[in-house]
Amino acid sequence: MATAVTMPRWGMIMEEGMVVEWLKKEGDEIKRDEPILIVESEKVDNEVTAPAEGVLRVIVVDEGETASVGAVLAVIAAADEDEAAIKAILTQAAQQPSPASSSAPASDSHPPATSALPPSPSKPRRIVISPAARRLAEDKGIDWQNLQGSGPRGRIERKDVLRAIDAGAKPGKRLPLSPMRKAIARRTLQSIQAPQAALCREIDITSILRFRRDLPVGEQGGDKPPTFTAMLVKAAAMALEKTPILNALLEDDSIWLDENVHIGVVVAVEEGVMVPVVRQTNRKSLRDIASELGELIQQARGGRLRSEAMEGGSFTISNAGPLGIDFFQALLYPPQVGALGVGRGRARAVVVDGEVVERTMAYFCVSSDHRVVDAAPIGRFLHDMDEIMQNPDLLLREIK
Amino acid sequence: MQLEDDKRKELYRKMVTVRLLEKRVEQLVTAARIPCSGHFGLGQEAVGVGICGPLRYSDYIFGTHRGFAEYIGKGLTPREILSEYYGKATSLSRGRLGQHLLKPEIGIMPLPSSLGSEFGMAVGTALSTKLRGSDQVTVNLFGEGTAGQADFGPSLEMASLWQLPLVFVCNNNQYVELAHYRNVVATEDIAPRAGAYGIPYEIVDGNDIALVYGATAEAVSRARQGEGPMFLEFKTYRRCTHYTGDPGGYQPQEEIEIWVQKDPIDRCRATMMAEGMWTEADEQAMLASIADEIEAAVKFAEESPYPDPATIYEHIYA
Amino acid sequence: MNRRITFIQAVREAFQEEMRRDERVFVMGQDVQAGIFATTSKLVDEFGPARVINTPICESASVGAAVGAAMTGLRPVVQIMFGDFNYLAMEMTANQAGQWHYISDGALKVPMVIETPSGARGGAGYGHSQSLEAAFILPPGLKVAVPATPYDAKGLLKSAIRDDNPVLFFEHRRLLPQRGEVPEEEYLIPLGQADIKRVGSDVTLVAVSVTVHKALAAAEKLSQRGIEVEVIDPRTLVPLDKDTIFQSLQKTYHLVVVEEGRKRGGFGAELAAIAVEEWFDYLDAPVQRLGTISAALPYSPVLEAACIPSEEDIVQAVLRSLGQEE
Repeated sequence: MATAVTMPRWGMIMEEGMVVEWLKKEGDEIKRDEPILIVESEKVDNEVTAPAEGVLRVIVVDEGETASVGAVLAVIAAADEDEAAIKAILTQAAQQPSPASSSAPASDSHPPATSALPPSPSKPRRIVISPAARRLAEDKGIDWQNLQGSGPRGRIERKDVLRAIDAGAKPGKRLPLSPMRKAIARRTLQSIQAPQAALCREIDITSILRFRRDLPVGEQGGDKPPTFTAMLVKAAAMALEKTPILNALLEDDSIWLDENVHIGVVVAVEEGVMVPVVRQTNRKSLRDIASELGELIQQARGGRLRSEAMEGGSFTISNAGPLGIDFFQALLYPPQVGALGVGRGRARAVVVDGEVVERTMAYFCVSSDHRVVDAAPIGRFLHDMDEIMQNPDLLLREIK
Repeated sequence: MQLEDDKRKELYRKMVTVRLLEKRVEQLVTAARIPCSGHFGLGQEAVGVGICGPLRYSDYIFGTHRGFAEYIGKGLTPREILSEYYGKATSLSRGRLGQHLLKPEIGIMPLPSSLGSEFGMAVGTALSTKLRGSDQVTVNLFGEGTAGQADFGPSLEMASLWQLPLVFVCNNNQYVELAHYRNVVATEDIAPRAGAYGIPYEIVDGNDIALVYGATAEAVSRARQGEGPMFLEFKTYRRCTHYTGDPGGYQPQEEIEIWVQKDPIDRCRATMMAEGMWTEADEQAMLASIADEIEAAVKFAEESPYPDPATIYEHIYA
Repeated sequence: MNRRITFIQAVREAFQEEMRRDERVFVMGQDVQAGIFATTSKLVDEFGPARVINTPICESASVGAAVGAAMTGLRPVVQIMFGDFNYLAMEMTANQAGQWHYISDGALKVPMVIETPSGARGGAGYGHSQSLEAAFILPPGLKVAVPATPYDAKGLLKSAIRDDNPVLFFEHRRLLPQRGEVPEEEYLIPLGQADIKRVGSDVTLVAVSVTVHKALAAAEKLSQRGIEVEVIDPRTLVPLDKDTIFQSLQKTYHLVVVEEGRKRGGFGAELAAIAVEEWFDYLDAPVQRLGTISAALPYSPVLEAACIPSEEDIVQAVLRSLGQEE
């Protein structure tokens, strides 16, 4: 029997993936469940395992090419399998719309934003350009990747480049959107669809920074002191327990209030951002949170983060301090209704008890979905955060 | 035509040189000092040497791939032969020819790798001398096996038709590579074929240097005087195998023994001694002199540099 | 003062002039005295049978004799009556004539010409119709002339006779009776100089021998549709005037090559390979090759015509190159 290897669907929002590397080549013996290729989807690289045993007979999607979820990537069959059976799969694959949209579960509350569009073909269009046209384009600094070819099979020819030059194409370079950037694009677009409010409070973080510095090594903080971000996560978990409406998901016409606090942390990586989720932060010590977050960040930066690790967040924290940002409005990740953005701490002259003193201050800004959250709960949340920042010992309180 | 004493001594020395040089080259091939294989003509030296006896430097000869007799006979030196065989920069062709010995300035014409391809060329050189009004003669030497090639007949035809100064010489050494020639040649004699084209022919003992010389001298003389081509067949015997490394075994030992008795060098020496023109002292002096010449040639070839690979683009076109 | 004379007359004039000029030049071949295609007719009257030599029927020995004569001071022209018969002499041409100059490190020269009427004329059958010029690109040391006009034929043959290397001189039999302008005064055309037979800006069309005329006719048709084809006649395949073709390509960016020789492994294959190897950045479309199919040429003129490139095939190849396929 011939079996198709298809583009897997990892997570709710994955629509397509790029074949990064084939671990097997055509003709190789394949064991069931053995990893056979690596796919880059949305935000992660993952292995795809063999759905059947046999020989890798045909690779349909080459390395570097993108295919939609469900598209046939390869065919595994017995070494002596009839060509016809393999052709049948390939023909079917070429004709049928990708199951990416059709097989999406009905309960999926967040259908992919582009599901209304026709499914992309399993083999994306390769840009074909004549050598002479490419040379002309490169000489003139024209980005040919985006030119429309008028030659046979869409080949870009010199006249197409000349036309582009006449039309005033500017020198520059066009990059294709990576799956990660596509995901970010989709997320930000979704985000902006929610009516948002951003409320801000300037908070004195002198104490908590000192606390972090003075924390004895090996105690509470693990091998090294917890990062400021880990402390923010722990603090937010504590504060959110008292303000459950900020730890909620807006699903159609209902609000899901999660019993636990799952906090996504925005991590900058080379190509964009990833948001790994520290789960059940309300049930974890600062040390556990710090060590778990450290591990997730490492995985994200190494491209090893699994897609499940980015799912199920109920709130999101973004610490832009390391980027030198004072104040910003964090991106809201629907269906979440709240996100906290923290700017960098700066030494300022402030009045405390009638005296001008030097303190390290930072802006804490909560973005919220105004359909669910009003100003008052945010004010309470920021007040609680402020309190913890002033009394960092609270972070070490026994967990209930 | 009589073989004068001095000429006999000269031919004798050349025959011995051929034999010693072939033996030496065989050692060098076996020792992998020389990259090509070797094809030798032990016992048939009188043919190649003898037919060159009556020739001038300006006459043309197309020789065979077997041994050095006609090349030494026509004036090539052991040093020139060895430097070609070694493929060294000091060879006449700067390492291009190898076994395909050539020296047009003394009339040694191409030895093609495809046996028999010289038939047409020999017609051409003879035609050329005739058209130029020169009295040069062309000698085309080939084996009884090569007489089976396609251009054999047409070249006899053309030579006869145009009455060319061309002497065909068949060196019948009785072995065509690894087989007795009667396995692959239909007739005992090759020469009568010439008769069919109207060319006079003669069959001669090829192991008697005086007879080889005499028959050739007459044929060359006829050709030089414009009396047209002639065909000579010399009966001889190849006492060695086809090439260096050929284990042999296909030649009966008794057959070889018979021909050892008819060895052309021994016969020539015996005649000279009987006639009092050669002594044991002469013999020893000559052997020492030839050995010196060959060893000097080996040393020269060994010590010569290989050609510069950059020369490969030279002389692609004239 | 220009006259219009036939290809045959032009070739014969080249013989006459060169044989008068240099007594080392002589002609040999089957029936050269009578002249089966008339290029050598009447030469015997002026130069005698010693310099216009009828040979027995044996192409290999005849070419071999020419090689031997050329090596020893003469300048023979050997005629091979039909191009196809060159295979009979291939050993002498490819292994001997072309190689001894090099292998002798220049000690020998082989100044000779093989004059060979060839090509499909409709109804000559499989063994009297082939255009085999490309078969002589492969062996080293040879030059290959493929004149398409009386003017080129005369100028190239004179150069070929004076050249110190073996030169194959192909005369397409459909061209033999054609007339063209040839000056009275003497001229030479160097081997290795292409001729732009028609100037154009859109496509470079390299055509060999008889196909030059088909290419020119196709170019006229295409011109009516606004497509200007530059027709280049290489005139010699070896040496090949790559500069002229490249200069044209730098203007047109489109290359089409047509020959009556077989397409597989042919001159077009060589030129296309050169284009991809050396002129890659000047190709705006795949190189189009036209040549005869790899089959024996059938006898019926209708079948033969279907095997070889036609004027319409050339039109279509140019359109394909421009992406305007019909």
